[in-house]
Amino acid sequence: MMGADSRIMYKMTEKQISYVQESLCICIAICFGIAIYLGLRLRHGYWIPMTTAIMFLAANQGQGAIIKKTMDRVLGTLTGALLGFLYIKIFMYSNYHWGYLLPFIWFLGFYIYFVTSNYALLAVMITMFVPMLIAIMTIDPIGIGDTLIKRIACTGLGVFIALIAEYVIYRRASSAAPAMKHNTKTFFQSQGEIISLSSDFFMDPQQKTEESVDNFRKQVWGFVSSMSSLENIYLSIKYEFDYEKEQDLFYQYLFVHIAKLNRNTRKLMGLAGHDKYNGSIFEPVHSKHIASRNKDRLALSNLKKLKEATSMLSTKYKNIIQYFNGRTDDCTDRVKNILNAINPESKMTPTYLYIEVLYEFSKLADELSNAVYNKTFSS
Amino acid sequence: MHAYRLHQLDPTYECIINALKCTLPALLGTFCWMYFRKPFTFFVILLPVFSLLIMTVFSTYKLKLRNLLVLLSLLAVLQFLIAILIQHYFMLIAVLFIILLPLIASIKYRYVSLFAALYVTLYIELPPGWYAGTNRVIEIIIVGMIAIVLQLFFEYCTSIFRMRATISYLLELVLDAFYAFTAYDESKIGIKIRNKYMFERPLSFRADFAVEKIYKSNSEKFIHRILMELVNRGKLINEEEFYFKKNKDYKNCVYPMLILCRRMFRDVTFMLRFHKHKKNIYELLPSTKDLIENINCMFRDMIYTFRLDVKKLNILKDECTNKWLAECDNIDSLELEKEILEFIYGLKCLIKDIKELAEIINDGCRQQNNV
Repeated sequence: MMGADSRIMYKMTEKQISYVQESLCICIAICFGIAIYLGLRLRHGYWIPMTTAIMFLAANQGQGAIIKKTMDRVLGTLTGALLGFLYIKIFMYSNYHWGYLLPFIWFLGFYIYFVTSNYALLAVMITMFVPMLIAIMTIDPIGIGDTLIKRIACTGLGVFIALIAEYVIYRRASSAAPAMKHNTKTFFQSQGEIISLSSDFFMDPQQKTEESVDNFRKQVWGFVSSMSSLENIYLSIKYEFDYEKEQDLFYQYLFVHIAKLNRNTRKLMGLAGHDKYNGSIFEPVHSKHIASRNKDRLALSNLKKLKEATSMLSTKYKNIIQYFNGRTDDCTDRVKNILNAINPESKMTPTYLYIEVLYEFSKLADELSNAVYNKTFSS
Repeated sequence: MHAYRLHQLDPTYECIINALKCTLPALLGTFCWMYFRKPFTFFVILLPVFSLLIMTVFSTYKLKLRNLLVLLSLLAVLQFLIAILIQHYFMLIAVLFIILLPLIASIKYRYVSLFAALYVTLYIELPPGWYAGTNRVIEIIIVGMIAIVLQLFFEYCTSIFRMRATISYLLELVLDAFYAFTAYDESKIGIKIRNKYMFERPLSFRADFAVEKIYKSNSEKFIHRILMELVNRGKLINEEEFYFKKNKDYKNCVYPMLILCRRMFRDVTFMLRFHKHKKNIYELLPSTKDLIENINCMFRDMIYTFRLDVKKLNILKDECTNKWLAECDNIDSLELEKEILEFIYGLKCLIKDIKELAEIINDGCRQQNNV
């Protein structure tokens, strides 16, 4: 039986295993909250497992998000409970017509939440309205003031259960570090793919079919999506239990590099979108005396060199992890040699700019690989 | 001024529509509760709101409807189990654990299951028994109907409006980027940028804000924000799949504009170092200032035409463009720095793209009238 289990586990991917582990943690925490509520027969005790479940809704963004939202949740509950109490006890107590204003307050609260994406505001809204709705809709009178302290205490307990479960049960399963690694890898792989496809379009415009352009757009979308995911993960990864300062230095260095790469990618795509390769830029200044056959041969040889260098650069980005581990190549020198072979009078041409951008790309890859290999992020 | 500032906080009207998505179902639920009164719980108000809210995570209508059905079925089953097992605590907890564990572990329905788990905890408080359980199943069916009808209602009524607002906002952003990097008088940049309020949001918790702290220069921050807005706001047109034909047609109509917005932003990337070489560029190409002003006017005209669909757009003034292009042909590239070359190239590309976009806007406005 154990053997069969391990075989099943073996077939599961790393992501699936972490999902199962996370699910175990979440279910134990929620069921524990329910057990406390039912066991102690607490009035409004459902607030405990509800808070725990709300905390884990953030688990999609990793452990750091849960911890960050803990603070927001506690702050939001306190404010929301107080506002709800004041509204019922001060306004609605004296004149029930104040109740008609509730939909407007509801709308405004959500509007502000969507504008700011601040979770504490959502917590304020939930805590303000749920007890109010129960108070308005149930026949038995429920004193908001009586329950205020209980709800705050239950929130504290629910948050505490979520944090303890997160810390004790498969702590690493909900860490965002693997997602960060995966997205970094995807980012560099799509970067390599974009270089390769842009070069195909630039050097051989016949390849620019509707299908290949669609494929290219998908690659670009994958590229920007992975970048956006990296930023979202970075937002909460800082709050994780095992987060170290060195990691932060690396991420900062990475984001600065990503910005530079982005700039170059936009230039590369702009050039490939508007223009095509022109081999005549390699002709020497006084090229009148050179036979046309020789000119063609020169252009072809340079095109071949450029294609080789581009393919090398694309592979370099696709396998950047190997370069992070110390692998080196002569790609930058090759592109530099091609750049030096260009006739200086042809600097105004898109092909020159294109090769310049490729050179920048290669230099950036070298810089990043060196920094990661030698761990010199702070510089 | 305040209205303008409010518009700048939510230029694509996404927040206001989402807030409406949270309010209308609640009002409809309240109406149901007031009309039928006794059998309904407060869930008839809360559940449609949060069901619609979590559906905003999914991009296609198929996914939205499928997840909505999964969520409501799950809630119906789980609350029914709670209603009949509430007297047997251990049994209840064990059953909930066994059902929730594989659901939360699944990659496909994880988010929806987590949400169901959150709601299930609230059902424990409600009256137990077969009768109450069945009542709540009916309640969930009504909630489902409210949520589906409103989902379709919002898609039908707001999609074109949102897509149009998105495109005009993205055009504004490209104009802002162009203006910020090519303005003659740098001191006016802060005043004249249209979307400066998108950068001043108190209490905001956004990923791009956190990452920007790393960057050293303001121009890096600015370009990053615009890039992220282009990516995130463009998702509505790029990713969303619509159910209604008129929305699909409009999406096909504005998709080329989205592509051109991105292309123009790439063109502006070539001009990032303009201010550093401004003096040289004005000496080499004296008509640059006129051309930049002309492009700024053209951009404003495009945004106005597209947003209000009022008149046929004029294409860029040919004499100004031709003069500048002729000046470009006469300069000696040997002496020029790479960044100046890039600027010239970027501006040339931008001229082409603006002309293309102007034609699409003229055609697009006509198509849109036929939709």
